[in-house]
Amino acid sequence: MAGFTNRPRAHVDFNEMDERGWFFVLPDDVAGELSLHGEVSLYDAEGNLAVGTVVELLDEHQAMIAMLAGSWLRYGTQLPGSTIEDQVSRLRGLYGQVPGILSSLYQWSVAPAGFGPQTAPPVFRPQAVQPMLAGS
Amino acid sequence: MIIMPTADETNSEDELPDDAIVIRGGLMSRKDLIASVRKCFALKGVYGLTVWSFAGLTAQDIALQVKNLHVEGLNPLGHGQLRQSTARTIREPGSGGRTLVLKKTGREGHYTLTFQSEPTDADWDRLENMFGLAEPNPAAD
Repeated sequence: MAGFTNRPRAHVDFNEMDERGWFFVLPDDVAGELSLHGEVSLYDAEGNLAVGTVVELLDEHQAMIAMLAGSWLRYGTQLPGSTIEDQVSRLRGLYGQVPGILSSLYQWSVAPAGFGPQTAPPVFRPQAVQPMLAGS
Repeated sequence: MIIMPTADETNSEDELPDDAIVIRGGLMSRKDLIASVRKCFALKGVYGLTVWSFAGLTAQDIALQVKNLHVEGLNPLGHGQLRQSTARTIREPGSGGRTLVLKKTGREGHYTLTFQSEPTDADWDRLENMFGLAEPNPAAD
């Protein structure tokens, strides 16, 4: 199961998804090697996350990536649950059907600072999810 | 295969009245915006950004309408916040004569805010000032 650090990552703007939920990406948007039908972690500069699969590899290392419906994780999302175990269990329930996403979330919490959102004001930072993931 | 926009999608007359509210999901991070216009240019040959509008609707109702028009789990406006402007504000020429155009592009409520050429730092500053502060998005996922 690929984690965030060993799965390719693509910087996208979720506003720009087309009606199919697809994103067009340029080489500069991608870290790692894309493979047809391979999983990709999608992220934006604000820290929102999702998982996609490569649906087309195009000339000049461009690609089309389809977001998996329901894989969106909004930055700052606070999942219900009174204990760490409850919350991890709910995360597994939410994302267990998407291979790799849970490990992506774990890895996201310890990603290098350069991958962290730079523009979100403190009020929008995830106060609950990040410590929970980092400590679980 | 890439579905390229038709001539209608890229050249439609702007149908939005001046007082129409225009929104974008998220905080409008410049990093995201710059990457988006570059991708738009590579794909469509114009420097543009997606914005959403339905004449007569509030920003909140526009966001909910957009969410309702998309497949569940594929909401392009799932962000926790949104920012709003008006068509009039966007159309006002900048001090250097640079203008932005709103083009209706494909899906219902979808418009492309287009720049005359690759946006400059001044264009980005101007765009930042055209939109209000981030506010809660009722369509957030």
